Amino acid sequence: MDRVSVERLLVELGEALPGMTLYMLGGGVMVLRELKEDTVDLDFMAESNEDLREARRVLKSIGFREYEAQRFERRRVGDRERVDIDAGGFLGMPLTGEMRSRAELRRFGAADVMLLSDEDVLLFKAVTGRYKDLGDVRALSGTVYWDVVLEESLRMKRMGVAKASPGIVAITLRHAGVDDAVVRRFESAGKQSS
Amino acid sequence: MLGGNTARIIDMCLLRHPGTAELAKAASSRTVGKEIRELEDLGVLTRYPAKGASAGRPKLRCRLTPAGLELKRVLDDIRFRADYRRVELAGIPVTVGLFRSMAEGYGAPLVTGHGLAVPEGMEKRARALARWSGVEVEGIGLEGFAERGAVAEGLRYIGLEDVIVLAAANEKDPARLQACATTLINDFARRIDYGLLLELALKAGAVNEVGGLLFLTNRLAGRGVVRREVLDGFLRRVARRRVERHPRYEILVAQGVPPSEAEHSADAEVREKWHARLPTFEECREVFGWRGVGRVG
Repeated sequence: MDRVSVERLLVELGEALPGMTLYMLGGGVMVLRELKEDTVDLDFMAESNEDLREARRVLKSIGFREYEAQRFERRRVGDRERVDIDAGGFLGMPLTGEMRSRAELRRFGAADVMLLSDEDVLLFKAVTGRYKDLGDVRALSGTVYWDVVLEESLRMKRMGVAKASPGIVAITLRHAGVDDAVVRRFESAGKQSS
Repeated sequence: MLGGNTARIIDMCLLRHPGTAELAKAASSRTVGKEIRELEDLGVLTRYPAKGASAGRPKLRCRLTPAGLELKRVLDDIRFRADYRRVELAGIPVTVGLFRSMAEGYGAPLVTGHGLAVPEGMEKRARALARWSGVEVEGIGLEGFAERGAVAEGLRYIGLEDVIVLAAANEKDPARLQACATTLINDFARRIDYGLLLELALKAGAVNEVGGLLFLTNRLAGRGVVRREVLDGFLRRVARRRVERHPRYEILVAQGVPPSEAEHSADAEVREKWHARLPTFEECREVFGWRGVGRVG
């Protein structure tokens, strides 16, 4: 999905979900911030299970098919759209209060879409272990404040989310070719906090 | 309507949802104000109050409506074709760029772009001719790629074999292009000239990656889409080298997964037999079989 497709889908969702607040992460945020040209899918977090149920209902009503749990797709002529949505977190990582306060508001249709900060987008991408996310991590590494990423990663660890701990993030940063000094900081923080 | 200022405002509204002050960079405040009112009246853009604005008159942000987004798409295409024609008329061999060739030409999933492809060494001349900022020019090192291209709806797209090799050897976004290439190989398996593919892969120094993609396609499809003798031909030319395991392997092992279970057998084979660094089997599976209608095929 390129920039026009991303924005078009957001407007359509926004019109169908009046008053709802969705948190957006992943490649879609990077597209909207011109950090990449296009994205495979749009990733969202709803604030509550009730919002998630409503979002699922609306996605189905506008032609999306749920082909895996919380993963939706719609195929149209010349266009393919994929939406992943969860409530209160994503990929087993919670949406923390700090992430909420760093998020940037955009209004699409009648809904508020909160774009996670670059730091938080990077953190979510740093735990997938996918090759395609390495390029995104590299692109984000030029814009983020590493202190913020490290602090959030340590917070995750304290919350028992081991997959987002500094030691794990360091593995991705090293593979992505991020500056050695940054990688060492995460490795060291990972060792100290374990 | 559609003068330079209007087009600039539409471009700016796509991503940043700017306020009027930011839009005033496109022209004077008075002109911008008039343009915005006209575009709003036409249903091309809409304004909404920015949250958290200070007391007093609320600050407004502008965004494109669905009609505005369609118009933006048309504008981009017009500009792309204009630059394509300009480069072509200058006698430079030109095709649609790799990303757009894959998506629009062959219906590959999820890749887009507004690039033009010209022979390596001619990029500078072509860039000087391309007038619109959204249109990028990429240099292609495979000799004769433009002549091997396929024409559809007034544009020449990169040929299938060149596309696969360039996707395999791409440095900008290799994992996504490589994952998409498995779908193209699967769907066009009978149309691919494997002799040409191997020749181009050798020229590009990408035999390991292209061969690995052919192998991965068979594994993803669960059958011999690419014939055994073709794979053997590539395998004979593979350059041995050390390839690191996927980051996913390290992450899983760090999380306590036994090393023997942390790597898919297909990924291990790509690394050990094909000596290639490719997206994981699971990553490819996410987009495998996801192809739309392409203009070329």
